[in-house]
Amino acid sequence: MSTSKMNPFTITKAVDFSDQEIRDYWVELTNPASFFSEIIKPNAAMPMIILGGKGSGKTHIMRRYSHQIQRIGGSGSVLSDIRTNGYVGIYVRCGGLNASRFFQKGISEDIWTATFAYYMELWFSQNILAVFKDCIAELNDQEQTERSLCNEIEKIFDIPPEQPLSTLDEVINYLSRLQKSVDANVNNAPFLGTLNITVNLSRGSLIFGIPKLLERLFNLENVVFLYLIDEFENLSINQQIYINTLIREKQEPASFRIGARLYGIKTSKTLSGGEENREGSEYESVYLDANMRSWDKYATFVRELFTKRLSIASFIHTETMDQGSISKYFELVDHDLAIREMISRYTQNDKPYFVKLKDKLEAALTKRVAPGVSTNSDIEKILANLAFPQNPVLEKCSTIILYKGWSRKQNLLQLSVEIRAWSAQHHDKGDVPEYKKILSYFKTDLVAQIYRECRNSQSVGYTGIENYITMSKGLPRNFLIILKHVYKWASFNGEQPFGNTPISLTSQEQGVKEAANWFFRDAQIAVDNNKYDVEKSISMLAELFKEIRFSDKPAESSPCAFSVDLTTCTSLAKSAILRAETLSLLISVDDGARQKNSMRTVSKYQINSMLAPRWDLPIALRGTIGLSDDEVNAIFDPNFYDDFTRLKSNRLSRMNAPFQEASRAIMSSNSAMQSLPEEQIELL
Amino acid sequence: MEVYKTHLKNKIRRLHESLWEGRANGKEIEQWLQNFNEGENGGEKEKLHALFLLSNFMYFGTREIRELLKAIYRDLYKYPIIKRIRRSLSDTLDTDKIEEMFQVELKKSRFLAVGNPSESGHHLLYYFRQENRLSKDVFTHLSETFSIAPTGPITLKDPTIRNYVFIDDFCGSGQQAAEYLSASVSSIKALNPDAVVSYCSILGTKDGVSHLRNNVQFDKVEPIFLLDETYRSFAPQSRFFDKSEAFIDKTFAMAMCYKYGGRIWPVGCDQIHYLGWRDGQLLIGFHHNVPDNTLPIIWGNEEDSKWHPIFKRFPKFV
Amino acid sequence: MDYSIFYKDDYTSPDQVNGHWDYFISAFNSSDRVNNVFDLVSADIKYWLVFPEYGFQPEEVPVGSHFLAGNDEAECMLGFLRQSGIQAHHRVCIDITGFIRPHLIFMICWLHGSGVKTFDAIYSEPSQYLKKEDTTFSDGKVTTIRQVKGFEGQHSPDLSNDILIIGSGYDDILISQVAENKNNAKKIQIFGLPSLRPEFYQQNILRAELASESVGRDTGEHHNSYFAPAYDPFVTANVIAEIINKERSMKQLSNIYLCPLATKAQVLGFTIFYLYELSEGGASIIFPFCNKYAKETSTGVSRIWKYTVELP
Repeated sequence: MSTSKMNPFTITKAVDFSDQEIRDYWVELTNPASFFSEIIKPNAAMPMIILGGKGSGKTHIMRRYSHQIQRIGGSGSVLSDIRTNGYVGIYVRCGGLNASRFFQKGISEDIWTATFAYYMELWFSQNILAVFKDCIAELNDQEQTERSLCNEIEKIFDIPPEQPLSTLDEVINYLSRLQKSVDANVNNAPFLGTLNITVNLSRGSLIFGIPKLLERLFNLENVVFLYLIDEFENLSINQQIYINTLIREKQEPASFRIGARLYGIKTSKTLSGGEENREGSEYESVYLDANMRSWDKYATFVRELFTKRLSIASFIHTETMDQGSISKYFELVDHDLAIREMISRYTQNDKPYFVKLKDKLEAALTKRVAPGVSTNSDIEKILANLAFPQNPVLEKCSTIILYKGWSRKQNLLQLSVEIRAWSAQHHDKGDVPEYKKILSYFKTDLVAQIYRECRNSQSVGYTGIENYITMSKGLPRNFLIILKHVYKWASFNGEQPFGNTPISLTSQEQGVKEAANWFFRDAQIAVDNNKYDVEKSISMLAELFKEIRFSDKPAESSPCAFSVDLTTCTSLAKSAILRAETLSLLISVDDGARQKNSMRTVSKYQINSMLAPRWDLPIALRGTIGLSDDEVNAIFDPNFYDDFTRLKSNRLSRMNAPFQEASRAIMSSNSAMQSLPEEQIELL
Repeated sequence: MEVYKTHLKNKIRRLHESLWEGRANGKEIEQWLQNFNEGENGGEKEKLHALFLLSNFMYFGTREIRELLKAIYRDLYKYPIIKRIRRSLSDTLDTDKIEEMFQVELKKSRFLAVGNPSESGHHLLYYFRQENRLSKDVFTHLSETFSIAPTGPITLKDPTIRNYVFIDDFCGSGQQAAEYLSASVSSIKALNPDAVVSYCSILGTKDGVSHLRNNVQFDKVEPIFLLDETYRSFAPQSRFFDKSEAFIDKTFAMAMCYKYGGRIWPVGCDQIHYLGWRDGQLLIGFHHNVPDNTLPIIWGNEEDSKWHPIFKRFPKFV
Repeated sequence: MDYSIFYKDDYTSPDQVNGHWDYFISAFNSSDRVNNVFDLVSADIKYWLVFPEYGFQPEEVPVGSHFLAGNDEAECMLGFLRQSGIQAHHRVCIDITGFIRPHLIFMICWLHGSGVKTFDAIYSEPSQYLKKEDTTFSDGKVTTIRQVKGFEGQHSPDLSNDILIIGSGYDDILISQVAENKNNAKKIQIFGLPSLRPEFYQQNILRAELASESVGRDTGEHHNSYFAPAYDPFVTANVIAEIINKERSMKQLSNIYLCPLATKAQVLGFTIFYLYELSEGGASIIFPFCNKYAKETSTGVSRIWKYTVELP
């Protein structure tokens, strides 16, 4: 390896950080207020559900507010710090409960629910007492208080312990024994078919009772005892109902912060007469990803993250860097210059877009479907008229205009003569409407097309840190992953990343592509009982967008988003789309604004731009493509997957020469056209 | 084809990072690919086939070699003894008793390298000792095995030794090991017919193992990994070409390797070696060296033949 | 306990497998290696088990095969074992080659609980995997990640020093799934070396590397990966012991999770170790359950092993 330095972006997950590192790597933008404490609101009594996709920083944030992290760098008096902060965070991971054990084995659901509830009391209370065990020494009347606390806890049990408990250690050990007894019974259930457990507590008695006792005996008035329950998605529906019930029946000073993946909330039902918890009433919810995406300081935040990583890894010796300095680490591309240089290697007749055009005209000539073209000589004239060697992008634009005319059955030879004049005029004055429109809406796509035609890849369009920030789509971990892979490739290629020379375009392209592949694979690492195949659906959708983008006459600029009426597609398709959203493969563009002049609600989704390099898609969101119900079902409902090829072909036929199916396709996709807002009617 | 080429490069990069101890980085690969420059587009097809072969290269780094030396000791030497001891003690579970008896056997065993002290066998033996936490006393050299009195016959220095175990990294054709050891092994067996003389290697070809079994009086010849015919790159049953890849042509690859192999070996060298010593056609290498049974395109020497190797070979100088 | 003293023998063909048993149990799959062993092994009663995950139809399997059915591995195996006639004193032989891992693990628990002191396990190594490093064994989605029944343990609420020991095979998706399920645990991987064939190790590493982001911090750090022979359950058990002893020497462990995703021989090793040393504490065997598995992933037969498993 050409550099002996470790990759500063190796660690991308909060779980891999020690408690000290959570503090050290923490980036807080404190002006004007702490973004993250505004999310968690640790002092607020209202319970909160924090939903975040993988890499949203959910665990990092929740751990940051746990007691274990809060006490690092404290004053030395844990109780004083708790009083100052106004809260104490008791961090609990649902994954540690191994809750799937409380299921089936020939036992009824009711018994499991009661058993699980009992188990939770024992589990949570061990956690909270472990936090306060070490605080006893700070109390003036340590022995007396401890004994009082233990006595009060004993009284909570329906059947008190055989031996009186006089220290917190004894209480914790007692709770542990009870818990292990439940474990042993649960483990043996498959063989015995029964459970032999005496439930010795009522619901919430310890979970709420212990904070009340601590508040009184440890003088912790106005302190919120915050149960930070993470990995909520690991609980079954019935188990979540139980926690929902605790939320509903919450007793101060306790409160809850529930952390879950986007797909993690399975129900809002409770055991309280079948009532459901309602947002705004029993809880607030925060969508971390969406918050981060709309956070105006997100870009600044990730640049600080970047700087911090370089600083800790000793690549730099400063705590701050400006945007310009950061950008210099990455080779940047001037697309106009690069294209000129690429195209200059071809002779006029070998330029890829002209070779393609010529092939299409020749094929169409034999079938007589190229209006105004009756001989090979006509083809040569057309190509000559489109030639504008001084400006390859303009040349490319000219081919688009010709294709557009072809789709409208214009005389191509005559049109090419007009194009010749227009291109010269636009080159000089920049005022030809056709060119202005195309370059305004489609330049990025034209550039991508040229790259792809010349290099079979256009991933150079994803290079530079500003693109990485855009691609990460509000998930800091995605940003780190991109940098991790870029660094790896740069090292492999013999470069010195974050040294004196910028990371090459090649290394960036390779890294960003690998990050995209990683993201696609990683998004699907989730338990899945469903009939649909999200991976396949996203692949089909992306292929469709790709083919639109690289068609002869792309109907949409920057195709990476679609609109759909979720009320009219099949329920399986809808479920698949929503699932893809919870896996962050699709990002909701808005909250389903009402379409103009229509009462139907249209939802809009963008393919996560982390995936863009995998399919050469754009990362910037512009318009959305209206998909018909048939198309949506073909992409997302397994019962209709077989229709996809045909429907895709129909749609693309009006974008690719010789545009023969255009009129029929337009007729058959009328339903699609009706659902499109006006601005999405074909731009070309 | 570009997509497939990128896929191969990516695979090699991942091997470079995870298994190849940082060898064969991007720059070295580009330099190596410059060797393949005949045919259209500057040897595009040759380069692709070279990458394909490289992506199938099996490399054993230091960590792997050490682990496999542990396996030689544990699985090939120790376990048969343990098994015998345990059976003799009526299948006892008393591991202390078993170990006690094993130690007696161990003290009567000697581990030896193949080749002279300057060769790789001896550093292998050093790793072997370290990994298996063995005392120096159970190691010896072939020259230390015999006593030659000024007058009188050759005798074994320690006739109580019951096990002689020769440790090697690779048994290719078996000829070198046979030449080096045949006479000594015969002497040991003649002087102590009850002694068990074994040859254990990390890798061994089927032909090489057969050669040793047929030509040297070993009681046991056993590699950890036996390389059968399918490990020869261009054999009919080659496991590298059994999956049909769209752009890969076995015949083309073979011809390419043969052509360049002929340029890599010294002038006048027998053609049988063009695809590796004695037509080895292998794709293996170790941290410390690449056997010449491996395709020469992998290890060809730049001083002798102006060839940029991707994994350097350190030849034995005779 | 030094598990490497347990007996094992290797053969080059099924007709060399010596021994006679009261019961022989095998999991049906399409491979010659499994079918040949079934035909040639000497036993009074032989059972073919058909696992629903392979998706075999009745006409595809031998007459008299036992189709397993149930909600989980416990129900499936108990449904068979309770009527099999196997008792503590019987000589039992199991061809573990085609078994679905959790079912194999559970069955061993049942044998142990039923008083069986020793049984033989046969394992046939493949010569090649059909798709090399692209081979996948699971064929469907992971529907749940949970403890294997009978191996659920008594875990501690203190999660501060959990470890997850993964026997890492080719299925990188399964490795990722289980690693992310125990996100906070320190992940330690065991790779098969010596592998069944020399190139399998490299293929294995390439696949497991895809899961490196999920596994986390130990990427590239050798002290978090170990080796155990892919074909040796007993040395595998020793390696797990070594890992746990080492981790305990550094800091008290809060919870231990085992997840055997590599060869069936290693699965046996994980199970044996658990029964001997972990069944009383905060340890469990977890597994990413799939609803489908590939019927056949390999070709050819290399060695055939017979392991004599002695239960605690």
